[in-house]
Amino acid sequence: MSGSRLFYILCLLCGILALSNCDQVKYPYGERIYLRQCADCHMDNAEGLSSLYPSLKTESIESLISEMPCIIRYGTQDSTELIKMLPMPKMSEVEIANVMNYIVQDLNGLNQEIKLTQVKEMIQNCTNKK
Amino acid sequence: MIRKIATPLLIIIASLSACKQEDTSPLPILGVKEFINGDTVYHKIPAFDFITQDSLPISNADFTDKLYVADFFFMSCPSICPKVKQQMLRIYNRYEDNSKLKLVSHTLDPKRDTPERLKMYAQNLGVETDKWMFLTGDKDEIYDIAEDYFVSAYEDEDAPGGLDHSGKILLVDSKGHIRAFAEGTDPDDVTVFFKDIDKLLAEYEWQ
Repeated sequence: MSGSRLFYILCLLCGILALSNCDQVKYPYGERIYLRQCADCHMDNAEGLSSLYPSLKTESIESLISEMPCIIRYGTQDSTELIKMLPMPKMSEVEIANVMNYIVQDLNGLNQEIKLTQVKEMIQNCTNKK
Repeated sequence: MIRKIATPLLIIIASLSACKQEDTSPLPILGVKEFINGDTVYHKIPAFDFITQDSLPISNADFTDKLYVADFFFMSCPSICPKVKQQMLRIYNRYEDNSKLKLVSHTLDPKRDTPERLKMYAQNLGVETDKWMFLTGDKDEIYDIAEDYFVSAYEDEDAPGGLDHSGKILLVDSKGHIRAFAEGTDPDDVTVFFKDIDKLLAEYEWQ
């Protein structure tokens, strides 16, 4: 096989690989959890529904990160909102970290990784307050 | 030679145009037909009395010159309702300027979904007119009429939100006959449903 042909094939393979990566999310496990647990209300595209169900694709997502673990675990039962988010006591901290990374990084394109230790700490904080 | 090709060609053209013709036929009347004294009696939505989000009474008599699409939901529903509502909102936006089409959403939770709260729900959804009515009323009447809309609804402690129901969106004509339906959780199915609505609106304009 000549060198130029090998180069050509390599380029082709790279191209295919790059294309197949197009659709891939960084957090596929988080995506699965999102579609199973969150998409019913926040919609598959995470854009929510009018003012009833908030969009999770938002510029304020960064400021919401510290509240998210507790909202996911305990819901928004104390709020004055018309429709309250249900608590999800069965979602583990690992799952919460994954779904948050999917929301923050894949959906909002932020380059900020949420670590499991952070999630644990945030939940610890709000559990103590309750 | 030409004749040999022409015959099958004609058959193909004829069958293709037959397909097209079927497409322009009126929408069927759905439900079980009954034969009483030689007459065919079609399924229809029985008389009803409900209350709108503006606390106004509404009955079947208010729909005699209207078409409407209907669905069933409840405000605290954590499962299929929001997605069905998203599709109802698509229908609302598409036909916003067509006064002949109304939208009707029945709550299955009349105890909590009062007219006042339904009003807030509508406003949060972006609905300010009575084109889209959010109805409440007597619980038994709501559950009975759900069956007439082929929507199964029942209380179930194990279901999300304590109620189990299907997410159908139904198209009802001015005589109370159900003419088409869509799976409200499936955007593609609702896109097909638009054609049914257009067809019935066109049929209505001839009358």
